[in-house]
Amino acid sequence: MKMPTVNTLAFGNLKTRKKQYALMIVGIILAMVFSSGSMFLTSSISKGIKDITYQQNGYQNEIFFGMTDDTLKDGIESLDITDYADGENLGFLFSEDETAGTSVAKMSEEANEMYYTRVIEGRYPENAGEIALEEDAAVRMKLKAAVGDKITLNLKIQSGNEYLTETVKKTYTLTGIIGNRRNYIARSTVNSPLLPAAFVSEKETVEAGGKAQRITFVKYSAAFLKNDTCYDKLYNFYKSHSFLDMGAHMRYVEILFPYAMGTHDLSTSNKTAAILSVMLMLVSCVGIVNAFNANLLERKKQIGFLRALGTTRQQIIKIYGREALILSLICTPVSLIISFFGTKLLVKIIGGDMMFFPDWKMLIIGAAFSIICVMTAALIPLLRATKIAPMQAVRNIDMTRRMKNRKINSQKEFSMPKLLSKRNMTFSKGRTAAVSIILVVCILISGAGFAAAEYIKNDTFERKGDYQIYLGDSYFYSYTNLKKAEREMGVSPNSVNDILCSPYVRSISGHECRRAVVSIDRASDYLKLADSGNYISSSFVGGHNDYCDFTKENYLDILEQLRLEDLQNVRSGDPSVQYDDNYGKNTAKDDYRKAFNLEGEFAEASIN
Amino acid sequence: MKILECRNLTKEYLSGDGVIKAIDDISLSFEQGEFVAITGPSGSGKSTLLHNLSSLENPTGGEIFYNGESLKKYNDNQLSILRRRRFGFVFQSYNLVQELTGYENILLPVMLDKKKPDEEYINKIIEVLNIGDRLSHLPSALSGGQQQRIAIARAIANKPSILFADEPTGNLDGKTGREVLSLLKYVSHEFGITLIMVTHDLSVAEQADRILTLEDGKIVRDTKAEAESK
Ligand SMILES: Nc1ncnc2c1ncn2[C@@H]1O[C@H](COP(=O)(O)OP(=O)(O)O)[C@@H](O)[C@H]1O
Ligand SMILES: [Mg+2]
Repeated sequence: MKMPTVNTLAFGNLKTRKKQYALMIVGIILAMVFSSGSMFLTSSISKGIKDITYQQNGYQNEIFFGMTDDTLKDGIESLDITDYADGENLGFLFSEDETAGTSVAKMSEEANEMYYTRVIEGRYPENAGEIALEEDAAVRMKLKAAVGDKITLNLKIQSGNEYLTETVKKTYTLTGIIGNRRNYIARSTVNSPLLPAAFVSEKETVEAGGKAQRITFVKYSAAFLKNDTCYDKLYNFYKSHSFLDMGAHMRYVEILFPYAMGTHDLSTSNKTAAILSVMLMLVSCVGIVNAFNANLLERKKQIGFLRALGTTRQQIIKIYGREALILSLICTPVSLIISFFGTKLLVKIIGGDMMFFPDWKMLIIGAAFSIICVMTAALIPLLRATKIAPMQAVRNIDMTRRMKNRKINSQKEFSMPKLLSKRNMTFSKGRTAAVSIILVVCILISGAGFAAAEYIKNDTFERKGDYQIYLGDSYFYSYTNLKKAEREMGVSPNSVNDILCSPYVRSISGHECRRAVVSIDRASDYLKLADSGNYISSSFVGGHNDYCDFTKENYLDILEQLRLEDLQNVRSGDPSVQYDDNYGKNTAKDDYRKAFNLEGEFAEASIN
Repeated sequence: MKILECRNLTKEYLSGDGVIKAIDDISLSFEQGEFVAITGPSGSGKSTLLHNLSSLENPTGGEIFYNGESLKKYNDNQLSILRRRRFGFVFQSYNLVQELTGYENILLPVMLDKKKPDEEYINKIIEVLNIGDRLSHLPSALSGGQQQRIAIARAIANKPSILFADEPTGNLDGKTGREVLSLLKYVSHEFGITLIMVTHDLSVAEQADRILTLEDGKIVRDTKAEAESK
């Protein structure tokens, strides 16, 4: 027969008290799942935000159209460009409605990488005559084609920064669908038809008589973007190379965020996520401690006996440490797996643009934390038990247990045990209170966590719908003419039906809108950067207003240019536009529309 | 030769009402190889005395000497080692480790000492106690008598010099109790172990070399002292 070892004791404990340990393990796993799950969730949210931002906008900070080698050289010198990649616009494609078309580009591999050209169906074009379209573009052009189909489109041939006057018909094979970007970028800055949403292979060449327009995707150094002087430098650069007049550059979030999107910044949500995770982990640590305390008395008694037999303190630590280690080694992987898939599922259920991004660093931290947590939770109370003389521990436990089973106010009892049991009761009362407090805190924190998650999600994801379609004039510079702004435009019930026919559209919701363009004479920093020079566009859509320097004068300007006679009747305003008090604040969009006698529609659609 | 001695031993338990003197100024000594029975009514402090003598509890006052050496100088580690090498314990409620088989329980003190078991000696114990066919069972599968015999085997597995027994037959029926008792007597005699046993069964006590009677934490009768004074 074999000699027992420390392992025999540790494993023996696990083996013979299966039920107790099963309960304990379930408790520990629950606590761990709670903590690592929340970590996964928060890391998914924060990583998701970043990745989605890149997915929707590309990695570049800015896109220039029609750059020359000299301009680029100057840019590299004066703007601290860290990376750039090239593509070429070959022309402008459209089906029936010219305004719903898109530039078609041939991209270098690096450019596609920077632009985050992501094939979501089919493949990227490899041969001449093949084309891939952004989902968005396919819908906008009302193409009812699937991958593999031939499509015939009108092509305005690129001629440098212009187009040739004649339009040709071109037939392509649709090889793939690309994830949307154009609309996201267009929404986060100023819309431009130059931004390509159609891609052809590198074998494609510009049509006879034309000349490709260079697209340059540019990344600036982080230090450059952080520095406030970057706006002046950029402005000077645009001006000296006449990008302002041409409206031929597009910016990406990092420049835009502080201006167009308020003060939101990615690192804040990361920090929130980290703090949240730590808090949740601490809470679940309490859960683990509690799970261990479930059979604390039994263990304390066992320790008493083992000590009576001459087990030293170190040996006790060894035996129970091994047991705790085994427990944590069982619980940790199980709970990590559960929370991994659980979070994945949860993210799927929450849906939207949220994506599951398990952070492996977080995973390792979570695992280490869980193991440490289990070990401490298991060992601290037991270590304390070893401090009491061995038999005293056993007797105390026996005594309190006996007293619990008897009526406390029996006269025959010794007063000591009575008191002892009383003390025990107040002790357990204290613990009950502590546990309830912890539970409440737990609920509060997780509530706050979900609220924060919701906030982070809303703040970044909901800002941009899945999809957005403007029918009618959708280019910024076509709005610079107020005559155009007065023209009727929008989505008719018929066109809604049309859009719904497209295989990519799940539903359409939206409201009527009107874009107005206002001329102002005092440009803000942000406006200085706008393509339009001194024009701003204010889109009265769903509370979106990207421009804050909207003064009373601007407002009056609009009235004048729209030839509205009765100023008194105009009680209007977009909620997000700062109007003078006299003219009413935060009045409904409808009032605005009525007052301005504006018509036109705006549609928002969700993509499957 | 005095193997164990206590001088002015006092043990007090704190309670809200005040202090309970479970042992009240007891001075005693035990000879090597002696069989001593401690009797007295329930609550008189028998167990407390046994626990304090064997370093399972810390006395409030007084001093204990093992082989003439004061245990006051011993730290917790040294006391643990003393217990597992020199003392054996048999309790009323057996106190076997439920997770270990009979054999593993017997070897537990040896394992704690990181020694190689003396196979011959262990086999002899097993033979004397007649538990050879019960060794691979967990305690829960054993009868009370069998468990107590395993406990006795465990208590003497390390060849202790003193065996402390606290009502070892208290949980057993009359016949099994008598069997266990004679085994205890036999093994302690056979292996030259001092046996200090708490019992409130007078017929058991009468078999001892010496009977101590406790009341309210005080020795009210000591047959050895009586014999000496005669
Ligand atoms: N752990 C303890 N805490 C407080 N009082 C105790 C404890 N153990 C024993 N006592 C008290 O000490 C006295 C003696 O107990 P004990 O030695 O167990 O008596 P006996 O073994 O003779 O029945 C009793 O009054 C008992 O209530
Ligand atoms: Mg007793």
